[in-house]
Amino acid sequence: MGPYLLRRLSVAVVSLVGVSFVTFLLIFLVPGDPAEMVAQARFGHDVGEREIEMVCRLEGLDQPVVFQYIKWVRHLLNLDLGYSLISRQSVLSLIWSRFPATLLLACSSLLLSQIVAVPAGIISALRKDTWLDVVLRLFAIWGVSMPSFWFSYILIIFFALKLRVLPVSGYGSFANLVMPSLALSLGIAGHTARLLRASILEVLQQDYLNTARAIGIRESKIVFKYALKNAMIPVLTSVALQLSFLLSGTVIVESIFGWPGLGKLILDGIFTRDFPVVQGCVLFVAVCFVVINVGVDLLYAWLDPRIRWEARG
Amino acid sequence: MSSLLEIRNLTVTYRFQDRQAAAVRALDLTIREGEKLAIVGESGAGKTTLVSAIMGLLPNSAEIEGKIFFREFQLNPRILAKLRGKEIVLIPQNVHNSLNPVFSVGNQMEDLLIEAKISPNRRRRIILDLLRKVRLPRPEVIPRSYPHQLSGGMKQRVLLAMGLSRSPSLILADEPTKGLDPVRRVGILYLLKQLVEQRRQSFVLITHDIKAAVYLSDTVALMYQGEIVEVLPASLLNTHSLHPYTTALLAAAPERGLQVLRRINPGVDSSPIVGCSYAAFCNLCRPACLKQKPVLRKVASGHMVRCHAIA
Repeated sequence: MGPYLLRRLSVAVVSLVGVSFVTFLLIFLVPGDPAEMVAQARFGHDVGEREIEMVCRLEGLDQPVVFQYIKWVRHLLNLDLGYSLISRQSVLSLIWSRFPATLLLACSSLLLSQIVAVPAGIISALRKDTWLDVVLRLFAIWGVSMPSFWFSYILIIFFALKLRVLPVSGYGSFANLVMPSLALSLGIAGHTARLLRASILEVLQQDYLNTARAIGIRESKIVFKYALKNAMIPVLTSVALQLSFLLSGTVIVESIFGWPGLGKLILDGIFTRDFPVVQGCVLFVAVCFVVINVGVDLLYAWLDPRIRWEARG
Repeated sequence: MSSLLEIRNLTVTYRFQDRQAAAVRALDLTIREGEKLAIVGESGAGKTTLVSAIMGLLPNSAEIEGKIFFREFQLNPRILAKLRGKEIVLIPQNVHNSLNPVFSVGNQMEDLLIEAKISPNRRRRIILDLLRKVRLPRPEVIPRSYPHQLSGGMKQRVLLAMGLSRSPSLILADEPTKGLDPVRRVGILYLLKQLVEQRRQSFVLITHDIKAAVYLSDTVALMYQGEIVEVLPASLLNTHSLHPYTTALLAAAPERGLQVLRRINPGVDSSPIVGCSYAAFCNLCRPACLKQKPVLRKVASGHMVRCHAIA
């Protein structure tokens, strides 16, 4: 277990360094001169050469890129992500103010999707090729292929405008959470159900299940313990990936429902060319991905003991 | 000895799209209380299908006809679910994929003891006893191990320990030495011999290895193309066998000159067999063999042969 964990963590550190470098280079991808943008943000729109040059020197934008990167990383290690060009707030505090909303939405969507998808996948696999399986699979395909923005509007028209039981948009109450969660969970549920069904069907072919029967393990235990733990291994990857996407903020759904999450922060940052905010958010999202990946690796090791020992050879 | 398991007129047919193949044909077999029986045949003779049918573990593509009785009760899926593990156990072939890869050996053995309703504080000791019984080295570390950490021979011993855990009346072992190297094979056979002699319960060995059959059993049944062609005491197999197929099989053993068996590919042949299933390869074949199916006839005490040529 030790060497395995160590190796996973070192891979994570390497990815973080790579991510920080790429994120840093983002400034140079933004159209326009960063110094000019900063100057405009500080002194108003009609800035002259003098102001731009001053900003350049103050912020060290005239120095070689490598020095700028090292300086940036030094700030980063002190958890200083810079300040928004628009609101002048620190980027970190902006992210922290938005992250709870995104986390809440991500968790509720993921939970909702799994509550639906896991039983659906299991039933579908156990009742393979019956009408129940066909119906569940149709639902799954529908869920996967329904665009979330389209489904969001259908939900709004139905629940908010026709039935008037849920608020159209906003944040703060449980009622606000319902529609965005539904909109996000639909695709994930469909995908997970399909994957779980295929995975269970694959595992059900394995000799060790027949052995378990032949030596006298009851059928319910064979399905829910012996088969399910094996079948969860590939499903886990997909679920973790979905969680990463949800945590990075789902730009479209958050915008539709006026959900004050990370996705909306990034989108606003892009529109206002607020590059420190965009940079900070991208970095934060990347860190989330890396952390979740390490978490998944640990879960893998718990699910599949063969992985735990691979490092020992 | 009274009969423990009785198979009457068992036919198992596999259907695949519009094709079908009979793996077991109108088979009658009685296993008596305490009997050690070996069922010997080539790959594809229907040995594994036969034991799977007894266990009620055939795939859905198999159609099963005939009756199987266990202590005078006719077996059905519901009764079998209760008997498996407790009264009848199958030690399957393919050791390498027979233990669940994601649970420790101890965890899997414990599940069996839970089925047997053994209280938690006694389980650990029973597991250790069972592992000692199958002569596993360092039995105290085995429960914590996962299947991939064990060798093939060790896995086979664990499977045997699992099979023994509830002292079933009948143990079926399907090719227990398959996939093991010669040294491990001898080790497993030696262990089986000890276990079989200790127990008064019945034991059925499925094998293609004639020497293993003679070593471990007191009765040998030879299976060809889904039928039993000869049954005789193990001690007489090498000297007194009568059926031409048995003779050919004995001659195919390495120490007898490794004479290649003339064979068709069994199992894919879908047309019903008229006459004797071995007629096409038999040196004693006569006109009657092609027209009329021979029956399993008693030729001596404990010796039955299915052949027209043997009077």
